[in-house]
Amino acid sequence: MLGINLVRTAARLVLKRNSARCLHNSAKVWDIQPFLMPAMSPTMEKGGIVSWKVEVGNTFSAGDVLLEVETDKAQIDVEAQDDGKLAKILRKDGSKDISVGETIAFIAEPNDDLSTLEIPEIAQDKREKAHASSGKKDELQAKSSPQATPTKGAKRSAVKLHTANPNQTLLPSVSLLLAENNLSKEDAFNNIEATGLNGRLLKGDVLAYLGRIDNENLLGITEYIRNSESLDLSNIKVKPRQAMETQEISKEKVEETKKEAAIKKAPLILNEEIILTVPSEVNELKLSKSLRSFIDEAYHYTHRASLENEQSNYFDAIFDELTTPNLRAPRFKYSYDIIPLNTNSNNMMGEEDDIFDILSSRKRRASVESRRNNEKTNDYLLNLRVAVSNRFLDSEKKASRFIEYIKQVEIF
Amino acid sequence: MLRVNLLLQRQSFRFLSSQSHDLVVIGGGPAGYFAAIKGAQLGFNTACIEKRGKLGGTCLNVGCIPSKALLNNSLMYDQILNDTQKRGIVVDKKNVNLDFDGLMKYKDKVVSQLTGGVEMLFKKYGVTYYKGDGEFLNENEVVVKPVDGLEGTVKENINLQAKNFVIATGSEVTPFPGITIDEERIVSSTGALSLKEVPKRLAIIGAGIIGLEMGSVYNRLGSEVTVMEYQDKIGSSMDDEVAATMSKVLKKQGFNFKTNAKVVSATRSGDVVDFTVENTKTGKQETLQADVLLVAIGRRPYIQGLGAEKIGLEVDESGRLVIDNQYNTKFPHIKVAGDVTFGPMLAHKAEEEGFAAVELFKTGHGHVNYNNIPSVMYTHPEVAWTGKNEKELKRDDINYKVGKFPFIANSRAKTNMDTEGFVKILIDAETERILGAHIVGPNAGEMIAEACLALEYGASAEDIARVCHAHPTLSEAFKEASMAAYSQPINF
Repeated sequence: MLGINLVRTAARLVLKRNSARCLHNSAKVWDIQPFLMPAMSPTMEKGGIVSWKVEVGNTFSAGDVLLEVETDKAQIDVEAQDDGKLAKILRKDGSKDISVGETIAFIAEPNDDLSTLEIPEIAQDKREKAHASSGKKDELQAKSSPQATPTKGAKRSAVKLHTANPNQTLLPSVSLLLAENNLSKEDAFNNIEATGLNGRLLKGDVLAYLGRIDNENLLGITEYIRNSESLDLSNIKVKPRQAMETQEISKEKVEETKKEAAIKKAPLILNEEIILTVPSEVNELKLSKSLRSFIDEAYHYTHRASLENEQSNYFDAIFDELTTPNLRAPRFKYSYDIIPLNTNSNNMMGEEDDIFDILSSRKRRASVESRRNNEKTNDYLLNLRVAVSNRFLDSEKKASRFIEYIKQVEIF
Repeated sequence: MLRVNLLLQRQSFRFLSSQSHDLVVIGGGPAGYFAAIKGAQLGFNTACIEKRGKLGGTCLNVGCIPSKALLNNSLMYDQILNDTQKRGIVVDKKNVNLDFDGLMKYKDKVVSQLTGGVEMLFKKYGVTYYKGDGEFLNENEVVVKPVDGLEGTVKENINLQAKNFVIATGSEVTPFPGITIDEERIVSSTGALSLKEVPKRLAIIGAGIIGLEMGSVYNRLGSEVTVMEYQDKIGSSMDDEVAATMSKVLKKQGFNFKTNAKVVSATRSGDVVDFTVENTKTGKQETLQADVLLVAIGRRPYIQGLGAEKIGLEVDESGRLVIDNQYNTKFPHIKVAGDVTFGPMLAHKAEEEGFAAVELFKTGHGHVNYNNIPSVMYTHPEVAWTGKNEKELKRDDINYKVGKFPFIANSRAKTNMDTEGFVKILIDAETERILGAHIVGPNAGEMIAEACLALEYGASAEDIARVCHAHPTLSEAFKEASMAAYSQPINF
């Protein structure tokens, strides 16, 4: 939405009739207002009129396209900021090199009868000169449409000004300043760009509008404050991932790292938890004995056997032995616990498949049922921990094969 | 016949039950509980995980609230002893006794009432509360694990899936390299709130807000307080003039300050702590002794056991979780609020962020103004400030004006015989917009709210001056300082 600043001044227009619109006793009301050449960008100084989109005598509503303006960069539609009626066009279609701030037309209120209005023709000349000197202000007050966006060259593009919110209660300083300068509330809302929160007019906005302070300073301090309002997230130094992990490990596993101080890199620890369903006649002692010998076997097997396919025609046991460093050195250490689970295991498992079963499309229901059929069983949790040595490249492979081996087996 | 049947091959078997929520908040401190309640109010099915056993985080349990209980009551004790005669109240000092246990009990009662209050609020707004240790399994799941010995903790691991997460795990005391905190003789702020007796000699490392507040408590109760500060001034980020004033005032109250002081070592030997301090300017070392040494050099983000690194969240060099300006981690559905990320470590800042993070989930918009986060030190007189201080404005080359008004010229302060301090308003020289407010004085912590409101709405000094302030109140000093900033005060 393109908001064009309609610069109106009390000085140059004669109050012609009494109006109920007069809200402030010291403000003057205009029946007819000059429509000035808008600044489509902060850097625009002159522009041309491509064509007027509204005919003289016709009314328009806020947001209607009034005319098309061309700059050296683009052709831009100028939208009306308020409802109104086009009273007179001064600069016709095709006019070129019109300075920003020059009067190009007169507009009136939508209900005004144009025949009764006197259009001031010369009154604005003086005022325009005054404007040329404070031209910067107008430029900055005008907002450009998104398609215009020639803001690259603009010095103060970072600050986005708001049109004043017409529903605000004026700050005491603002209200007093307006009264002292014979400006009505409407004048202020229409003409003064707001730097405050949600279009709030601040004292500085009015002071700048009145030319008492430099607009640059207003925009400067506004930008300064706005920049401090957000969290400074520049120059974040992200901790490198590895450093982070080792620190985390060192925090949590201080004891372990102390023990294995000789090893520079923290060892990889694999955890595996396996549920064993055992007939109830097998007691815990028996189970643990069997498991111990089985796991021991797995440990030796995974160390002994080559990682390569031994059945392959290309497999050469001697070559393999030569290329495997320190063949008999342990690749990992293991420890395990056997924890008897609640005999009535259904309680613990719950009736429904949980997310893991769904994700891994494991048919636990079936196994739960099979367990139910086989009534007299006990469940044990085998908690297996494997600390992988980092001295050999094949340690991890061998360790995971060890785990696989234990997982795969069924003993009768 | 032994038959081993392989049932499950999951990496971890412990996920026995699972729940799903719209929003899961990890941490029940100011950021977390605000986020959780706001989330529930906005219609999210919300859960909050807290492992402390009590809600309210550091603030309610071992921070703002218990320290204020001690500050308020120790001040009353001090005033009864030392500030009655001139007012026409006769107190027999021999019969004024300190019941230190009673003081501590009162503090604990307040804490338990307030933490319980938060739990009630969870019930009222329908926030599911998990007492346990939360850890990310992946970016969509958190497991809540039971905490050993914690009453009411979850009975088993509960797997929580949620669309959105807020991490609000807060901060912990920064340890001092080389000094072991035992929370008896060498204490952190946590231990300083629960001492067994008033120490004869209390030494404090760090003249920030925590150090000066705890120093005030024990100074009033009779300790000989020495504060050591590495910087050349006390009060960390305070305005320099304010810090200088406080230094003077606290010295008058009996504080010993050692600035430019680097604590080299500290060891406990029995019931005393021996420590060595080096003056960073002269290089001179001296060995001192205290009954209790408080280490108050700040706090650091806490993410231990959260599994943040496991799911690939970034952490900066100071241990803060990295976020963007919408509080997003690399996953837009995981936001971070409070001490565990950037910005000042203050409860009210955390609250705002928790609130904003959840609003961002709901509407895409949330608001925290980081230029307007007040700081308050509850010494006597109190210190409060918001916005910019003079040093910052000078650094940023801002043309500013100062308006100052001393409480000695304020009728209410004079009436109360409580006239230490001043109000200082900093405004832009041209627009007269308020840039900062700094108050040393009675009830500064309450008065700063007016400055915050003014700053938030872009008020000029004149806007404050033209608002009617009741007479006789301390707030008139604020008005007069504003008048002084853009024009002239009346009463000074």
